[in-house]
Amino acid sequence: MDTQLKKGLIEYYVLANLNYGDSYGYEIVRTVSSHLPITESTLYPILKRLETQGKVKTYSNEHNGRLRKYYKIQPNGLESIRNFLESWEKVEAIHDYIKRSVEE
Amino acid sequence: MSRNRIEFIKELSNQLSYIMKPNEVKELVDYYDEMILDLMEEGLSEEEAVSRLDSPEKIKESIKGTPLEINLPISKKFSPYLMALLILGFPLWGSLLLALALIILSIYIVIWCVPLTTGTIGFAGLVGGLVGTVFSPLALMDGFHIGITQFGLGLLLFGIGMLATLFTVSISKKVIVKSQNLTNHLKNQLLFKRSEKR
Repeated sequence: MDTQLKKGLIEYYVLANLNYGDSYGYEIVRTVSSHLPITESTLYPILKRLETQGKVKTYSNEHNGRLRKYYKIQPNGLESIRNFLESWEKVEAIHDYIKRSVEE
Repeated sequence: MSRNRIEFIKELSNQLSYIMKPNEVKELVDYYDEMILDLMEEGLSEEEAVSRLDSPEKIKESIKGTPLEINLPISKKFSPYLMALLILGFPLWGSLLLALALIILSIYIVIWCVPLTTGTIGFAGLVGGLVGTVFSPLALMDGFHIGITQFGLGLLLFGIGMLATLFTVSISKKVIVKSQNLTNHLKNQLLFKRSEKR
């Protein structure tokens, strides 16, 4: 997939992932990678950005004698998902337009 | 090359410390440390887990490219409390600032003292020597030996003046360079502390 497109999608994928339930770094990388292969280094700036934008919040929980950072989606983040879904009609229209250009 | 976890973390903190603030470095290092521990829990060995991640050099490069959000609310607008505190604290920070400015000024003065001194000697020598030499015939009226002595001393003074002027010119160039360096250094230190991050 085109890297720019991928970049744009990862953010919503992560938000959706967190809307299914709170998660931590490694699990997010694994889940996202099942559709959009990413590395830890790609994920970090995205998580950081979502956090500064107030779309996710973090908290630490004990796991096997160490602290693990969990990410939790915020109302702001849910709204961002909704906006993305609403704009999908436009994306489909663009997709159709591009498709027609090849077919004709 | 396989690193263990501690080596990886040390290397990563080291690389990042040049481009990020300490608390950002800590956050990023914690993130990667958690990744390593989670990978190890999946059954990977320490070295395997570390090698699964990007190298510290690569991480540094990827971070450089992405603008990390800096929290700006403080610099964007001053809260009234902060303003009040700044005004009330003026006698303290104002005098400290003044002291700092004066120290910096005195450094410049001390540096410029050398060319100023030699320049003065040069000017005095040239003018005094010239006048002394030119008017030495008048001193002949007081006696031949006095006139000759004045002529000789005048020439000597003129020579010293020339040497001092040459020295001033050459040292001034160096002092100008030194002053510029100092100014640039101070500017970088005080104003653009974060410029390296860009």
